[in-house]
Amino acid sequence: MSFNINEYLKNVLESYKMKHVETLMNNYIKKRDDVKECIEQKFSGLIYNPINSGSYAKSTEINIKFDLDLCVPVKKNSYNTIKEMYDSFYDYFYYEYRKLDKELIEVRKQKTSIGLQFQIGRDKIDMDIVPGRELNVDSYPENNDLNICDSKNNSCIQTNIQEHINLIKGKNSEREIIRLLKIWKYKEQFDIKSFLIELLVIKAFENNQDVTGIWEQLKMTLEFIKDNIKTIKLVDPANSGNIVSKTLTDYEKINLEDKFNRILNSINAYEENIKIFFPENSNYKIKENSYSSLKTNIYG
Amino acid sequence: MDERIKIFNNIFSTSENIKVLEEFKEKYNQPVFYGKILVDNIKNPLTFDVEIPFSYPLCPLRNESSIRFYCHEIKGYRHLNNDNSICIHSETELDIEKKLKKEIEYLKNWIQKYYIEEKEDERYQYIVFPNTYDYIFMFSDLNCSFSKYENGFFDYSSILNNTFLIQNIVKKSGDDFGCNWTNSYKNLPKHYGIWIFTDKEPIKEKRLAITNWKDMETYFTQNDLSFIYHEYGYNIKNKQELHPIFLLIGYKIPNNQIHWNIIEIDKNNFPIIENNNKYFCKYIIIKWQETKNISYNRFFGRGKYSDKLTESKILIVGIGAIGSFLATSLTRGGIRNLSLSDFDIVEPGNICRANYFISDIFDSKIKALFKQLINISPYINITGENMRKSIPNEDYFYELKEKLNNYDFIFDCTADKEFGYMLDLMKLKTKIISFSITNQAKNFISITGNNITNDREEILKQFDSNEEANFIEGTGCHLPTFSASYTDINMMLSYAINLINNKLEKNYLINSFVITKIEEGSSFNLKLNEY
Repeated sequence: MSFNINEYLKNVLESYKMKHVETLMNNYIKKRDDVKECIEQKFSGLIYNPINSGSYAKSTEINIKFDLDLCVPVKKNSYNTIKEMYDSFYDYFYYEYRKLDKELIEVRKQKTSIGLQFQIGRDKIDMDIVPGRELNVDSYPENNDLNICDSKNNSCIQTNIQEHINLIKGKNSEREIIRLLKIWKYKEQFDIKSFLIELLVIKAFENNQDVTGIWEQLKMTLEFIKDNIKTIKLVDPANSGNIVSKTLTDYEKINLEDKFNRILNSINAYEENIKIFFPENSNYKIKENSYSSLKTNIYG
Repeated sequence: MDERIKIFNNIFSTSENIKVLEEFKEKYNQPVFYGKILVDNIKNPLTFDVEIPFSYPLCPLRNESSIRFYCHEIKGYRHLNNDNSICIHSETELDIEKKLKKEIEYLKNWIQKYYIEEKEDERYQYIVFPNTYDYIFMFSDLNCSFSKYENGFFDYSSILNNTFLIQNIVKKSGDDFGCNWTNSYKNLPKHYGIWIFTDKEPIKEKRLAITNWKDMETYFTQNDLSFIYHEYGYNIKNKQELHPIFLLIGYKIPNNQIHWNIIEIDKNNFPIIENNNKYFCKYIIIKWQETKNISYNRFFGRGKYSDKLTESKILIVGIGAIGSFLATSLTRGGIRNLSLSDFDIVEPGNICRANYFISDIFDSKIKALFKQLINISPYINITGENMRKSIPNEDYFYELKEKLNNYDFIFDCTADKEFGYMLDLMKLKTKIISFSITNQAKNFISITGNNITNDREEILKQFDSNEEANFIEGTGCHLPTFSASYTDINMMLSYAINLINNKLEKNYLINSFVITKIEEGSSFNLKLNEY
């Protein structure tokens, strides 16, 4: 039977869908809702409704790595400083919430968020809480702009979570490619921000609108990134001061170019090599697992 | 007569400012030509005994100088060896006349620079000691400073009959500063010695060390002598009757470094006497012993691997032919934290291609390799990692996953496909590099990432070498093993280690790759395919 690369890629995406990890997902959603409720009670009057963020909110999640994050918009007058706001959320989880929820095993300060880790049965679940303050009194409902705390640099960063979510709304083809690149990223352990992947993929599609078929679209994106990564400047649409393309060092950009070049050449030489770079999630393969008995004879 | 003698006499006698005092001839009973020359200079004419080896213009031994100029009239000058010969590194030159002229030029330059001008070198020259050594003491830079005339105790341990490691320098305050050896060395039985930190090198003439205890009277203070006298008497003599007493002398050398020299004190002829609370030294020869600073950067400097390897926590699983060589290679490259995992023992048949010895047979591979590795590096901390295979249905899987996530690199050298599959299931954050070879070492496969099983199957599909192992040792019911020699395996493995180290050094990604041996007529090439 001949190898159909488009069909293969569809199977890959299928194998990384959340439906395969339904129990984990349900635990996760329940936990997020519990946390949300507690925040709403504790900070009543000081905040707007928390919004879901992270890859799950954007539908770019894969079942080996996904974030169900919570962004908490805070009213302008609730705190004197952004730092004070950040600390009050941290203190809440560290001193109060921890006593209420025995499944919470770690609370840590991260760059812009408070990282929570829960142990639910055998699963460890990570959740990031991102508090952000509106720019002016009552401005959040109008424009969704927020200032979030950069706790590492003791400064603040303007952002707009809603705009990030809207950015890929309705872009189904782009989302498929984003998910494929995230599969590759976790398989290769390549340290690139998912947000940068999203911006790169959107840009690639903008420049090549008439490409159809998932493999052609993936190939087009890999080529676009390979050809442009060293020079392209990509800014956060919610904050022109945040240059997202700078989150990769020059070395990392060269590595990315080199890697994508190899991927394209390998697949060009032998189409089935795509399995090396974009493997199916072996736990949830669509077809019968062809490696159930391993054929190679290797020694060490 | 050897034609060369004529050339020697001729070249020396026609050289400016040189007078031949004794013509060259074969030295009685020694494989050298001998002559005596006088070299005129503005400071003071110097007489040199000149020895030229029979092998001239070749050096008889590697690393030795060919010609030797001995001057017994002066002492202690820079680059004057303790046998009074000038330290000369002559270049390879196969033309006798050219070579000799160059060496005479070098001699004259030495006289000008180090005898007449007494120039200081940019590089520090260690003190020259007149005696031969019985013991060597090794130390590393300590993370502490000393003030003048400070003193205290030090611990040292024997690693071989005459080779010692300095362990700790203990100050009077009780603070102790240890050399950062691996725990295996730190835990060796300790002996005690005494140390004094002074403000100057123990030298008498130029770079030549003080040779007689009598001269130590002026080098040391009364306080120092009192310290040696009393501490020796009360604290050491009775405790360590079977061991000599050692005195360390420390002083500053350039680049904010501290150097230590060591003296062996003869217990039966103690060099210090006391009279009315004043201390004097006897007229006896000082027995200097050798010391060597083997701080990490000196020890590994010439061949260290990338910091990204040396400063990482590394686990090697499977220490057979591939894993044992990888471990020794990484150790020589200066890695500091290594963990080994293997359940096997050393079998006689392993020795021909894995890094084990006959004395290791039937010992566990971990124990056998551990012994070797700490014998290579005093800086490597080695632990054993006990593990079994598991799947996500049991708690052990998650415990093991957490443990494995603490490493920076895991080198899977097991060629155990089930083990690779378990690592895939764990989706570790750790960098995994899985090494294996095919039969006859036709391909060396290195798979990186957390999808080892799939990647290896896919990649190997493209190589026509899926042969089953076919070597059976003797007769009987043995599991066949693969055929490949020590060099078959290590040629490829060295290539792989080099490639990975190079990539880490230059911040490149480590890709999966296959090295393939391609026979071409009577020769072969190695081809690298990266993915």
